[in-house]
This record gives sequence, C-alpha cells and structure tokens, in this order.
Amino acid sequence: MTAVLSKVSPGRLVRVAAAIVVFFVVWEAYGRTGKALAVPPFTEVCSELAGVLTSGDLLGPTLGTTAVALSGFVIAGVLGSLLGLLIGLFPIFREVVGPWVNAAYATPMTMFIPIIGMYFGLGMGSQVFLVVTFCIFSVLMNTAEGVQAVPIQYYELAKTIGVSKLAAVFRIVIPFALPYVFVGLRISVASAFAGAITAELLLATDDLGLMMMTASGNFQFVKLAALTFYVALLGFVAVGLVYALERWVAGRLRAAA
Amino acid sequence: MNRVAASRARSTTSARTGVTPAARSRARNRKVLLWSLRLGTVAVVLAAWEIMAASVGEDLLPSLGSVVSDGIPALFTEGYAAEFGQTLIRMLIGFAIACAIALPAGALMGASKLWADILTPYAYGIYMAPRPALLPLLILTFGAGATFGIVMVLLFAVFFPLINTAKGVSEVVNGPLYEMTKSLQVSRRRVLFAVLIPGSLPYVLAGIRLGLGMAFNGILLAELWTAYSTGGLLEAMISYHQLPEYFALAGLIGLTAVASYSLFGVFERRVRRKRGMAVTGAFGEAS
Repeated sequence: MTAVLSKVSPGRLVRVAAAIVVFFVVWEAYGRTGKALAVPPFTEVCSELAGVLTSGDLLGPTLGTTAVALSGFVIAGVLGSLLGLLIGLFPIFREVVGPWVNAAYATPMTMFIPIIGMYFGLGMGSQVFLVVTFCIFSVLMNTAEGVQAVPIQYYELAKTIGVSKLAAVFRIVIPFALPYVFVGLRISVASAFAGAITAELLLATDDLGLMMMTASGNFQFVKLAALTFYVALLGFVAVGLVYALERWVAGRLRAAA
Repeated sequence: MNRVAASRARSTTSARTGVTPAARSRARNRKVLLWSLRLGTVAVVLAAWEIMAASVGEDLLPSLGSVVSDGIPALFTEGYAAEFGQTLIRMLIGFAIACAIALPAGALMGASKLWADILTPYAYGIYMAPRPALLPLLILTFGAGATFGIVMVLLFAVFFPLINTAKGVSEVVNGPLYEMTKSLQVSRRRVLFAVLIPGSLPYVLAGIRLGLGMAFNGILLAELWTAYSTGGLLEAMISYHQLPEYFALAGLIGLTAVASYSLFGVFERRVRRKRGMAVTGAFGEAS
C-alpha cells in the first residue's frame, strides 16, 4: 500500500495533482450542464460550503460526529490490538478464536443496524457500538499478523540472554508489531468516519447526519452536496492525521533502535 | 512471511529425518484437543444465547428454539429467502460491474507507472471518503430502487479488487519471470496467459474476496436506507417485533456472506499453494 506512494518525484506529484484537478474540472463541467440534481457545479458547492463554514453551524455537528468516530475508533483500537496480540501470541487461541473472527469479519455488520438500535437505544451508545464493529477487524487482523511476523530468531535470542517471556512481549513483540498495528489503525480510521456517518444517518439521526438529512428534506441540494464533500474532506484529514502519527511513531522507534 | 518460511523449513527437515510415532500421536492429540475446543466454543456460544434469551425474555432475544420453529420456516413460507435472493442478484450485478472496472484498471495501474499515478488518487479517494455519506445524495440521482443498490455496491466494492490487482500485476511485472520473457522475446499473448494472469491471480482473488464482503455491506446499507427489499424486511421485522424472523433472515445473510468469503479463501489458498507462494495464516491479507 505504501509502496505506491513511497517514491515521490516531482513528475509523479505533477501527474497525481493533474489527475485530481481533472476530477474537479469534470465535476464542474458536468454540474454546469444541470443534468443531475445531485451534482451541482464544484464552484457552487465550494461557495456554499464556505457559507456554511463561516456561519459556524458546522462546528457543533463536526465535533459530535468526530466524538462518535473517535470513541469507537479508540475502543476498537484497544480491544482489537489486545485480541490481535493474544491471537498472534498463542497458536491455540488463534486456531480456536480465529475462525470466529473470520466469520464475524465476513458477516455484513450493516444488517445489524436495526437491532443495534433496539438494544442500545437511539443514542450515542448505539452509534459508538456500530463504529466499533466497523473498525475492530482491521486492527485485530493486522496486529495478529504483525505479532506472527516476529522472526523466530528474536524469541530464541531472548531465551538465550534470559529475558522473561513477559518482558519479551513488551520489548520485542510489541515494538515489532507496532507498524502493523498502525496499518490497521490507518485503515480503520476511514471506517470509523464511515461508521459514524452511517450511524447518524440510519441509527440515531444526529450531528452531520442530521444536517445532511435536513438539507435533503428541504430540497437544499447544493447544501447537501457541500456537506457530503465536507464529510469526505473530514475522512481525508482523519486518515492523514493517523498517517502522520504513524510516521512519527516509526521515527521514534527507529531512533530508539 | 518469515515465520511461514521458517516453519516450512522446519517441516521439511522433520520430514527428512522421519517423524517418530510419538510425535505423530502428539500431533493427533493436539488435533483432537483443537477440535474439541472449537466445538466447545460453539456449544458455549449457543448455551450463552439460550441463557441470555431466557433471562431477557423473548421480546428482546428469541430462544434458538423459536428461531428454528418460527423464524426459519417463515424464510420460505413468507418468501423472505426469495427476497434475499433478489437482493443477492442485484449485489452480484453491482459487484460484476465493480470487477469489470477494477480488474482492467488495476492491471493498468500495476503495469504502468503513469496510470498508477493517475488512478491512485481516485482509488484512495473512494476508499478514504466515508461512502455511506453518499446515500442521501445518490438517491436523488438513482431513486429508491434496484439501481441505487447496484451503484452503492459498486462504490463499496471497487477498491479491494482494484488495489489488489494493481499489486499483483506490479509484482509480476517487476519480477524475474517477466524480465526473462522480455529477453526471450516471448509473444505478448503468451506472456499474458502464461505469466501475467497466473502470477497475479492470488492477489486478484484476495481482492475479489475482500470486495465481496464490502458488496454485502453496500447492498444492505442501500436497502436499509431506502427500506427496499431485504433491507426493508429487516427493518420491518424489528419494528413489528418479529425477532425470530429477523434472526433467521440475518442468519441466512450471514451464512451466505461467510460461505462465499470462505469459498474464495479456499480457492485462493489452493492457487497460492500450487504456485509455491506462502499461504498466509488464519487471516490472509487484510490490508
């Protein structure tokens, strides 16, 4: 995944930028034709978004949606990496719990939306629960993969120099697996926002989901498009932040080693 | 990867030195223990379900007995299973379109740096943006019917087959075998069918497996949003407290999803083994 983006030469940068520009130009051109209600011209969407942003109406809902996404993300991150560590460390655990995890991963979690609402009520609890189900698997699986990837020689070395098993977990396994955990976190941060928006649209209508539905209900389609674009931008920012955190941690680890 | 190679190396040495009967019986014992633990967890989960159902009451969690006696027959007498069949067909149409776009585009990305640069922002854009946010907007264009579901499946499922095909093709193109065909001036057709397709197949299959999982999520989300077909049924069953029916239908959906995922997993492992590639552990490639 990172290999695609690793070597950034000026030529590549220009091509990537050109591809992005083409997208917005096509959007603008198609929007100008007025053929689709859902696609107002890009410039119109931008000025609408600027208007909503300066009005301050977006601040509260943005914080609310982010709180849901972040809570679910943190819970999924902690539970997922702990379970992944257990699965990675203990083969017996992996072989007994692994099939269950696989089955749960393959099960479309969206079908539980109606019953999550029934069990957890139509509030933040059910929203966060949905986010956790969206996020936990990529953290868990990547952590388990990272723990299993620790070269066997490291364990042998630890044994030879008399490091206790618990210490080996903290000094060897966790630092080694951390980059994998971060890949999982980076994947799941996108899912966290998707989960939060899903929850706010389908479970308990609130915050950004509520704003979008209100705009749609009032036939304010430009505003709806602006909000959708804004939510997409939020997703990009969140992934970017985790990516930055990942590089920072990787730098610290390299410095420590 | 290292671990797999290491374990493989170890197993070949033990094969060479010969396996002692004691080791064989130890392996057998371990297998027995493993399966009893696996079946044990199934029993524990089912027992926990029954205890929960008995303590919270049928209104919140139906007992397994009522799911079997009321829910499962209703799948057929009320036509719920047939409705899900319709949903499945729409999902497969959407997924076929997704693959028809993703595989050639992924191959382009893997084979050419220029196309990789051009298409990468689109691939990751579609992946990083919270796709469910498009529900209210897309319904304006596609209406609350079959097309809407198909479009959502396309948006949900296109990323994994795309990015995995790109990875597979790029591994082949940058690999030694492809280099050799170039210096031997093998015909393009032969290269395609003898090197490129078989070499990238495991990756493509992994992409399809992961994409299929997303397709299930996409179609159900679309249908829940529009209260259409299976999504509408799931919602109505909760509103009218038909919990045995809900769990029977959810079980059918879950089984279908898990079965298709596992089937692709088995196929994938077989292809990998045949090509002498590392067969990844319990989870395959999640990223």
